[in-house]
Amino acid sequence: MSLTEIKKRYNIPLKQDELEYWGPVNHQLSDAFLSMGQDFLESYLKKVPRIKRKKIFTAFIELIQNIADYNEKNAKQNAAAFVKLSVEKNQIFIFTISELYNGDDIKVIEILDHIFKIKPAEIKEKYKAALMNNKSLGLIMLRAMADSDLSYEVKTDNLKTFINFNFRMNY
Amino acid sequence: MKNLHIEPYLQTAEIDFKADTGKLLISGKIYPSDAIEFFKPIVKWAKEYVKNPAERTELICEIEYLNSASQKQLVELITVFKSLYDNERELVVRWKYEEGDDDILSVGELVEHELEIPFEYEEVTF
Repeated sequence: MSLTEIKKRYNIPLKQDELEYWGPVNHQLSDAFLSMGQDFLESYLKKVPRIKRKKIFTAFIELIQNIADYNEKNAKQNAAAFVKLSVEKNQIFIFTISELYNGDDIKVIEILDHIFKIKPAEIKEKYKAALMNNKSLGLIMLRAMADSDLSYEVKTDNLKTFINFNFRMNY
Repeated sequence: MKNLHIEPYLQTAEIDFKADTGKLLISGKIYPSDAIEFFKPIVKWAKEYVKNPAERTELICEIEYLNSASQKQLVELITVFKSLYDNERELVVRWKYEEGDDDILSVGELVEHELEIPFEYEEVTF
C-alpha cells in the first residue's frame, strides 16, 4: 500500500506542500533524502528568499544527518525514522521521530537538557567553544538560527524509546 | 609536490590546491555524511604543503553550504595553514559568502578571531 493510500485510509490530510518519509535512515539513504528535500524546498518555496531557504535546508541537513549518524553507530539494521518537511502559513516545519537504542535515553536527555538550557545570550559563546574544541555542534547551530525554534521530546512506547525534534522557522 | 584536485559532487565542494602557485581553492557545497573522510586527504596534503610552501599562499573558501561536521574539519584545515602565518610566511584567507548569508559569514569571522589570522571577505552569487 502506498503512503497516499495509507493516508486516505486513515483520514490523514493529503497535502501537496509537504514531504514525508518513513523508513530506514542511514548515511546512504540520508544522502538521497537530502537531495529530495532540497528539490522540495526549491519547488514549493520559490516565494521564500533564497537565503531563508538555505537556512531551512541547513537545519534539514543537521537533523537528518544526526539521525543517520546515530543509527549507523547504534542500530542493528534498517533503523527506521520518520521525517516530515511541511509548510503552513508563513512557517516551515521539520519534524523527525527516531528510535533510541541500548538504553541511551538517559544519556541523550542529559546532553539535550544541557544544550537546551543554554540561554539565547550565551549561544554564540557556546557555539564558538564547540566549534573550536571539536565538540558536538549541530543542535547548538540550530538553536542559534534566527527566527526559528527547536524543541524535542523523548517518549517510551511498548518498550521502545523514541525521540522527536520539531524545528520551526518563520519566513 | 603534486597538486590536489577533487571534483565537486552532490554534497562536496571542488578542491583545487596548486602547490607551485600557492592558490588553494575550496568551492561549493560541503555537507557530506562523513566530513572526516572527505577532509582527510585535504588535511594530509596541507600538512605536507606547509613544510615547503609557495612564496604566497592564498586560501579561497567559496562556500555555499556547510554542515556542522564540516565546519569542524575546516577549522582543522585552516589551523594547519595558520602555521604559515605564525612563521611569517604570506597567508591570505579569502572568505567568499553569498550575499546576505550571515551564517557562513559568521563562521569565517569566528575562525578569523579565534585563530588570529587575517581574512578578506567578499560577497558572491551562487
